[in-house]
Amino acid sequence: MKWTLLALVAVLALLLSVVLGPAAVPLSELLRSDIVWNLRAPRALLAFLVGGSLGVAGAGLQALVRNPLADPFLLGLSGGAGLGAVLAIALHLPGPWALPIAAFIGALAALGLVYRLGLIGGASLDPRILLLGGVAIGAFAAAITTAIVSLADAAELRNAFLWLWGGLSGASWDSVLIVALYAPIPLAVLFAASRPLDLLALGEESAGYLGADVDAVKRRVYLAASLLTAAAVAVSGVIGFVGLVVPHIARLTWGHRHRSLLPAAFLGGGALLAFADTLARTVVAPRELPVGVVTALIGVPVFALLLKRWTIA
Amino acid sequence: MTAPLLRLDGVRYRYPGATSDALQGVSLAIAPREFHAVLGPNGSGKTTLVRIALGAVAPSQGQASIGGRAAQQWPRQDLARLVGVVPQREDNLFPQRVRETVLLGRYPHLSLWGRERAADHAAVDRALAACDAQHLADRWLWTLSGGEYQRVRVARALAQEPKLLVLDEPGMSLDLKHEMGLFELVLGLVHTEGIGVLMITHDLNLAARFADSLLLLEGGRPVAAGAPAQVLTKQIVETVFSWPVAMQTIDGRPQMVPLRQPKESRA
Amino acid sequence: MPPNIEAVMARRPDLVVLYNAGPNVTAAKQLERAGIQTVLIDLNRLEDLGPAARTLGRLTGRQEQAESLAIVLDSLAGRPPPPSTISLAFIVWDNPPIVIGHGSYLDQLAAQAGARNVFGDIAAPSAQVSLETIVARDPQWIAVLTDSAAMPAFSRRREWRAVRAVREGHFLLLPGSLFGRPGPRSGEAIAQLRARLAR
Repeated sequence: MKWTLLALVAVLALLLSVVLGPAAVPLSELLRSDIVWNLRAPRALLAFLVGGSLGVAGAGLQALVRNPLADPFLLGLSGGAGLGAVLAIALHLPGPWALPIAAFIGALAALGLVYRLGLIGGASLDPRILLLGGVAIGAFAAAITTAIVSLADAAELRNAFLWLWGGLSGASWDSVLIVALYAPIPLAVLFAASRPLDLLALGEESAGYLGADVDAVKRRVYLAASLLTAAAVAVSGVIGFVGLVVPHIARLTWGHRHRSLLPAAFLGGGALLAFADTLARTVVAPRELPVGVVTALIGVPVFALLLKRWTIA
Repeated sequence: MTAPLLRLDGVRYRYPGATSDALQGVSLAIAPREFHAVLGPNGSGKTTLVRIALGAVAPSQGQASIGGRAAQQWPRQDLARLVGVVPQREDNLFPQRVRETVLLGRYPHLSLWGRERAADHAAVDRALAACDAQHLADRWLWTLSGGEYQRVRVARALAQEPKLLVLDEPGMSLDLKHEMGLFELVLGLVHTEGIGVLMITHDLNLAARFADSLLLLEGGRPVAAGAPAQVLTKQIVETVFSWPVAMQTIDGRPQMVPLRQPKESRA
Repeated sequence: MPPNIEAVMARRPDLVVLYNAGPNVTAAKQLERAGIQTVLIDLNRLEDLGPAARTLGRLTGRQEQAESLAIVLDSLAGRPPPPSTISLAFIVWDNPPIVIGHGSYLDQLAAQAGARNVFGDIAAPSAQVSLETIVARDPQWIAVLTDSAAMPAFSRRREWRAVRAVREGHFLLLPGSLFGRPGPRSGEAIAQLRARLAR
């Protein structure tokens, strides 16, 4: 029953993304419209894929670091991506894909640094260091980025910050294809880790005694969640709150078993971002809001409600 | 004669960077239907012993084996089908019901993508029944008392259908009624399920009352091992624990009673 | 970026002219306190040109020359715009798409050159819009401020090719030195723009 509802919500979100928009496309012309086929449809699908990926990455990460407040963007990836993007612009790297590729590489560099830090205590990733390291590396990268922007030729670079705020403007069938080919692998790794993630909730020691290969699971989950987040940032900037809030909402109905939680987080995250993007495109038409702003505006009250429920429980 | 469930042979271990051994020359063998207790003052190496025995850590010297195979070579999931562990601390992050948490004990038996089957749910019911906790099945964990929660954790370990049960200080922070209940439960399981038990405890008297065999450690070294009457003597206890005691016998088992040492007499 | 006060003072200028915005306001106060004559000039629209010329003329003691320049610049601003025959959009950034709205300098230039800014209904000088809005409004030309002679990188992106002007390569590449900001050469900018649109 609840799965049917979720599927309906997802389909509805996708439909709204395609039907609504600042350019008035009458329903009768929907199927023939260039705007719908070349802009709205790929954008809706990209929103769904990115939102779903962030939802799953967030759920996996919260289980890994054993902290329900974890968000994929605590890992320092957004800082790295921003630095990559700004360097691409400052160095005038050529080509229409220069910015996303540079952002992705920047995110991977941050990932590598935080991962290396996480292994400082030995062969086993320390989740507390992952969090602290992520925040530190992210802040460091952000500082360098700001320095570059303030020293270099103004306008273009300032606009890079707008990109970082998150937006699906770059959506096309090309980007949908790339994400659709890339995302299934880290997603599959996370789904396969469902049981160990359940066990991890008891603590690493207990999880090991119940049969989980804790070190391997931590590494796999961290890398998979980070790779999903890196791709999301490269393609659509930093879209906050989806990875933080969607797993919590999903847990309210599906509980803590990751076998059902992860798919629910995917569908829920996808629906949320598609819906948020529709709002971003329509509420101040002809202008557009950065979608990261919309997810924050939706996410914060929802988060406050969840906190209230947590403290009552 | 089959291999013992768990075996330690002359195990020595030193933590990296430490100036002295945490364990030295420890040997132990546990067969089915045997209840072993490991005792000793704080810092005597009890928890280290468990970690080495279960292959979490490699000994610097000596061997640890389970079911005849080196402890470190056991794949985690296979080992979890043989040994159920109730560690000292558990930090359950998310709210759960009793039945759900006991079901986690079935995970070693499940394949990667397979669902829980009727047999798994039956094992959970059996484990709850053996621990006298069926009436708690639908309760939320946070509503349980300390004693009830401990029984649930034992039930989870039982749901693994292990041949060996390892408990690390299970009675700590339990009140008298629940601690006695726990020891009775464990002894009952040894008799009805035929499992072997390794229990770390600081409670000398309860260990002596219920266990078949004791191992007393001091500073990582075995001071005495064997039947309770051999290990828990006035002389040995007073030496290891640096405190005067009187000995009694109850149910044929030695019990120690600490004597008072008011300040004036300790001149 | 705010000016380096020390470096400015070291040159011992007679007059410091600053664009009136942001950190320059504080800098101006600091320079004044240090005894250096400073003036903040508004230079955002065509109408600002005449007053700016007059102010500079007054401060440098060249009022006559300034006045003759100011009269020309005032007429530039005061001229009623010709009827618009062509539509365009100024794209300042592509991801997310940022366009120039009504009332900004570029918008005025376009109007004086006989072109209609399809985003003239947006009151703000610049705004983020959806790509589909650009497609729907279908400007005949896309104007981009750039010193390069090459087509902008985003023209090769698949989603931008939904815009007709991008598909047809109707780009106006406007060098920043001439088109970036109001100045004495604004008249030249308007004339150039009109000529290119006519082609």
